[in-house]
Amino acid sequence: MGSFLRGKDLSWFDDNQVLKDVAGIAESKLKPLANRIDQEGFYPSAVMAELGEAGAYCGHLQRYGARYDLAIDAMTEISRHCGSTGFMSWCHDVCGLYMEQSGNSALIARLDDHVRGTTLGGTGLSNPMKALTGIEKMALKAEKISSGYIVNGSLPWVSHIREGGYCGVIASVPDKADHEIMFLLDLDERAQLKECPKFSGMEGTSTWAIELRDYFVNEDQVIADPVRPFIKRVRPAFVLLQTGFGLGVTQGAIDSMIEVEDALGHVNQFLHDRPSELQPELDRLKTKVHELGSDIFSGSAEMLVDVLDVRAQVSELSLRATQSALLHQGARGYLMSSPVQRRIREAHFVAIVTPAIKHLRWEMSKLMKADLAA
Amino acid sequence: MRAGQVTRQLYICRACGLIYDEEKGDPDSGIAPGTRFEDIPDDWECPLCGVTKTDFEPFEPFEAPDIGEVVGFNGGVVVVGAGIAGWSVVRAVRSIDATIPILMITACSGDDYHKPQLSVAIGQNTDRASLVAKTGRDQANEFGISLLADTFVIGIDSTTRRVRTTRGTYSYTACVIAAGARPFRPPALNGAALFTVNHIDDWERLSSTIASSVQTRAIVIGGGLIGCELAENLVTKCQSVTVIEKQDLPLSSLIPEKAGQRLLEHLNNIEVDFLGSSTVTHVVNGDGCSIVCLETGTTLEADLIILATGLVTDQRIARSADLRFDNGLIVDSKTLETSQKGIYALGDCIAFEGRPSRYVEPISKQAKAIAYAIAGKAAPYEHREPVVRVKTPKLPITIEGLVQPEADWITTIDTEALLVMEQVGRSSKSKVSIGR
Repeated sequence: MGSFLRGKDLSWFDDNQVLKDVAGIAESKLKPLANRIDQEGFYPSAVMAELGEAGAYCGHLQRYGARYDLAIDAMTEISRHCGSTGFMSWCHDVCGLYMEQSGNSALIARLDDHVRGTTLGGTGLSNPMKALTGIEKMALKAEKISSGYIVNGSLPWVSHIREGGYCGVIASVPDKADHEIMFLLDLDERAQLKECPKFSGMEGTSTWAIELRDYFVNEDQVIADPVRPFIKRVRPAFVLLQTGFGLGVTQGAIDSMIEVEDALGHVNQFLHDRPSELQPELDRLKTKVHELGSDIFSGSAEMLVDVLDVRAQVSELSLRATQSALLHQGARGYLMSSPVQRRIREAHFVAIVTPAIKHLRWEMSKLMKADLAA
Repeated sequence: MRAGQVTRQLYICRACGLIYDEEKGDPDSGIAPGTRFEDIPDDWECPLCGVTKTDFEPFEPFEAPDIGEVVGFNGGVVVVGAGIAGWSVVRAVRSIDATIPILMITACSGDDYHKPQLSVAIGQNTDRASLVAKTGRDQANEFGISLLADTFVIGIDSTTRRVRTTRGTYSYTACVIAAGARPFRPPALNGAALFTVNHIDDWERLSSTIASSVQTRAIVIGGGLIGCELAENLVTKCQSVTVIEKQDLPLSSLIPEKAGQRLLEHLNNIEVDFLGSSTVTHVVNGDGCSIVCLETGTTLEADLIILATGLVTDQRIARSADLRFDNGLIVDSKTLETSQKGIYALGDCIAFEGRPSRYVEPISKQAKAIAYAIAGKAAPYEHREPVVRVKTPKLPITIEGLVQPEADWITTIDTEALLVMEQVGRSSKSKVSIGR
């Protein structure tokens, strides 16, 4: 295990223990809250801190051995019971990824609190990720001054943030072509959080619009400058981690089908996409995800296509599985209190959150075209 | 637009994508229809996400390309690739089954053309339209199939029988891989501006470049079949043509030394510079041209570099579907089925005993065998080495049978105009004829 331990909790290095603890907390603490989170917009920060303490948010980090399989499996266990918290776990994981990969000692110093869930931070990279691949324009603009940057603009719909929290964001520097900066935006009094319209799901993800007026960024906050090489390096990890969310929603849907097998199996036999079809597909995908996670920083274009492909497959599978779960459960799954109908909305989010299915295909097409021209 | 005419302008919220239409205004926020964007008060907020006016910008719509549509395809035959092999399969399947749904997926437009013509067409005054027998769209309509153009296959799941593409996932009952092969690019030449002639789109780029320049110094890297064909056809169009080849003679993997000598003389006669025993180490940018650097330290200036170093089969599909692969997809010698049930392959992307077969001649027979196998009937394919005709019109070359490097050659005809040599190997005979 060696020097990278640096006094961290040893129990976090036992994958089985972490997964067992995370699954236990998800089932006993999160599951009972899932409806409140979904319907009332309850932000489960206390449960997330417990999950962090159990090691849910450490696995993928280099300092804990870059165990992407562990981080993703933990996210799967969380998402199985609550998609919103699963999604926030992804936000939290990638925020940790930015902090560690920044190499900025001021940010790395904050990482211990972050992985323990003592402090919470998200990611505002939906717009920049789309902007960098040419789908839309960059929303934040930065201006260089001698001691740092001044940033202006609005970011819509950033999840897993609140006053006192933070998130990784990117701003373009219009003075220079193709120049952007990435920084950890501390959500103090200088950043205005504005309420978002009510969404059809994911209400408990503490999602806000951020408005910045002359926000000063100092060097302790800088994640990357320039941004493009950094994003190129972390993008496969960013996308692959997200599969944990979709895999969990899918597993939850399969669980719900099996749950009614005794009562409804005699009629459910006439349905498509039965657990016996879906579970092997899910397991195969999981194996592929683990495989990709073992060498996620290799940097090859081919691997990136594989990552985007597996992410798209997870979206498609979660749509099919959640839809089928509702057909399996029938009226009981259609109750507003049922996790089965909630998961349909969660799966739709899996499929539309950046990178959405269409973005994944756009990007794969671009990469394949470039490869053809090479 | 007439001067002074005021037109309606649209503005898009950079944050959430809401569009402010000046004609409609935003009555819910008290902005009357017809209010110009610049006249909206500064404290107005986006009705959807709440950002302010400064986060809006003029809206310019993106243009979406017309890529055709897939009408009701839900299982049937999926054909990957729209080259000669792809269209041959469509033709063969349709000739025995007029109704089975067929979906063709191609990274290009699917236009139907005869690829072997391309190297010759470089020397002629011709254009894309005259090379294309039918556009992909027209051909698809004629055969009653769905065509997904400009679409890449990302992977095939042989367990669930689904093809994943950049435009969605499709179920198949049978899948035929006719994805061809791609030009092999020596790693040393990564990033260099090179032309290839393996697709009509490549050809179009090359021929328009030649047409638009006055005096072109062309360098062909690779003196094999395509390299020699191109050289002969390029001399009429270019100021100079140089072929750089690793071996000492042209076409050395296919014809004996004596024939190679004769081809070399011919190339010299038509003023093609053949640099044998030469390896390109890298290409750098020169002053308005490229500089090709050889292992020997020699450098050559070029306005145009064409890569003719052979083809390789991409392995993405094979990897994704766990298809056995040895220099190409391994297929059953009679049915052309790959190592996974229900997935067939033909053309440039397959290999028999590790030898890719990259000629057109066997393709229609392969297509027929596949069509019958899909229909549950038998029309077993029998692989024979195709007759290779090198399209060097001034010195025709024909190669029959599988050339074996270790077997001796016997000269049977040797006149000034014609050289014929034969080889009897352990298991096969081959014959090379060069000239008329």
